[in-house]
Amino acid sequence: MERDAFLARARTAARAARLPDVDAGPVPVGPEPDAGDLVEGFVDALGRVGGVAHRDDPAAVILRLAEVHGVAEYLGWDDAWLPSGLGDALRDGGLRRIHHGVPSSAEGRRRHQLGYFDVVLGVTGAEAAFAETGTVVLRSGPGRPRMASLIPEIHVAILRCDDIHPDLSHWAATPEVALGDAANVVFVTGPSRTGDIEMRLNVGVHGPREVHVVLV
Amino acid sequence: MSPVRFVERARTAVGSEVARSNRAGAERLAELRDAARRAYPPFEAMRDRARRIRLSTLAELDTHLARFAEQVERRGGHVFFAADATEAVGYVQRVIRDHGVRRVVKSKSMVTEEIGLNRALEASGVDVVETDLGEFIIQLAGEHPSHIIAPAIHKTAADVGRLFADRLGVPYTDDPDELNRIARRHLRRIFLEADLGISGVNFAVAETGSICVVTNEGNGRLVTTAPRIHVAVMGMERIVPGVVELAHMLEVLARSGTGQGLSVYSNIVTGPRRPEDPDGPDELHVVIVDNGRSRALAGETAEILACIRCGACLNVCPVYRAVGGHAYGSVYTGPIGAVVTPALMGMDPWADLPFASTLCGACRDVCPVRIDIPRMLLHLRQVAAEEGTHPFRWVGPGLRAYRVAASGRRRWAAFLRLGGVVSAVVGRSGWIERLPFHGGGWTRFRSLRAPAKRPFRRRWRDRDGT
Repeated sequence: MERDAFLARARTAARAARLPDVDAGPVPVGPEPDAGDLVEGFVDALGRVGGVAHRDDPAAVILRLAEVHGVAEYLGWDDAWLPSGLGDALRDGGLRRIHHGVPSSAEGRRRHQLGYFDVVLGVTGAEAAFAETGTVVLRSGPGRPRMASLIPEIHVAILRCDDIHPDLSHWAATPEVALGDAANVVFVTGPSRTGDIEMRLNVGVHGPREVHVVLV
Repeated sequence: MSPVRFVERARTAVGSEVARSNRAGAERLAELRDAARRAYPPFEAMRDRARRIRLSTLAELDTHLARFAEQVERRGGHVFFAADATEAVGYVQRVIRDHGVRRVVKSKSMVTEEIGLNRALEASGVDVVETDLGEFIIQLAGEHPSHIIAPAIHKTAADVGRLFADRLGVPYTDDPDELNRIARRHLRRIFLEADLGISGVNFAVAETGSICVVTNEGNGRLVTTAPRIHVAVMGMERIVPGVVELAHMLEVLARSGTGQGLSVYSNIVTGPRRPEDPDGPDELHVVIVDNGRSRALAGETAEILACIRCGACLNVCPVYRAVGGHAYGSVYTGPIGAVVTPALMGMDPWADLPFASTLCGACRDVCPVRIDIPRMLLHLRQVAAEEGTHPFRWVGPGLRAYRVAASGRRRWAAFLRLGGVVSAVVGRSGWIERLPFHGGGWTRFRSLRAPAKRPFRRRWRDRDGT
């Protein structure tokens, strides 16, 4: 249907709609939640959704995980998007970063992405976090592949304690949100989960089965 | 009338294995929601705000839609406005043909079910794979989902184990962990190789041209990240004005649907991959579907478009709990389906769905946007009566007969004496075991108290002078 005709039909319908009265205009954000300690709140909430918080040296945490799972490579964000020195420390620890540029050609894309099939470890930064729900916010962009937090069995996100907000609504009201600036922004709240077989909780169905957040 | 009426489908469903497991799932989800509500006092106020957001957006839907489309295009996405299912399906087919796509991956979406997208694509030789674990199971079994957010709620682990062994050639297991691993590996290759991903849209942000897809499994992210082309299909009412409203709706949706603070992944896509981005689709198409929505909006059923598809009303509905999703015969089931189906697709053949309710109001009590579902059920019943599509044809004549009996003193007295006669004939024990004809429904599962042999008025008149 032509856009104008479609919108005209929608306009006529909206005018004729018998909707209960509500105030128009922007909706205010709710009251400030009981702040408490945002870091403590985040750590608790992350634990409740099945994630693990670490207050340790990021390189040590990642190298330990790599050793436990016997892996020598990771899919991760570029060094510039991680705490300074982390990329070098991982290299020195024997971890290789998988090349993450997906080609545009159909065949190149397919071949490159199939290379991700068995990746175990993913390392990303995090732009913000929500104490109420244990959520981390990841924004895609140059040097920041979406796949790093999606394909691997284990996702490690590095988060600055200063970037923890009370909850999603309060973060959304800040100017730093700017959804239009990136092709992808994702809120990750714990490991991938499903209840689709007999309502029993099962983790790691498509995304990571472990989510680790290292607070720095 | 639908080919098979609700009452008949419900009769088959009640007490079946499917309905029983469905009920257990619905009760579990209702408990989760309730626990979340108790643990989070601001939730009630959040519902009021959510209602305000949804209703005020609907009132200016065309403005928001125009702005959204403009923003999507500004960021390099394509927008198509589909008046109905045929146009929407036709557009997706064109994109598939133009790009020589063979394999399509999909994440769960009600609107694509509504427009029959999978069937149409499969008929034209395209391989469409559902990737939500529940939907994947349902697709392998060749069935239809029975619950909005838990489509395979009626299958046991043993059912799934047999299905996987049968269709995927893996050894039988009924261990959910192992089944999960099998599905993960099987679907992963398909994801990474697929040319085109189709997703639904939970919310579309007018201000930025963003679409948000919510999943717990992560398939919504894979579908919108791995394939070269992403096609998002949305009902035209999915719009929110800005990111503040999006944030609020996401919080309400997760708490209401599954009792989570937020779903595991709220994935926000704004245009195709940017020039320097290391991954993501090169092309984005957004299909905005009317398919009856402007009809539903123009009148008494407008409020139903505020629905955010959380499934809470299904889980508490006594009728849904007893009969399960399949008995409704439509894509949308439960209380919301009983309104939205006839509102979108017309009374014919769905006029019996608004009658599939006890009007107890539990749906309105739990609705995260406080939609007055019973009001609209009553409205649609009235429409059915006026149009002559009322499924219980005897109700009209029956009520007219009652009006005749009740509007004259003598006639009323005679009517009451009739009660005594009925008692004498079928209720001698003081109970009526079975009523004939249309009355049979009342006595199928219980006995009725027989009317007193002497009506109250008679006894009043003959009482002692005290």
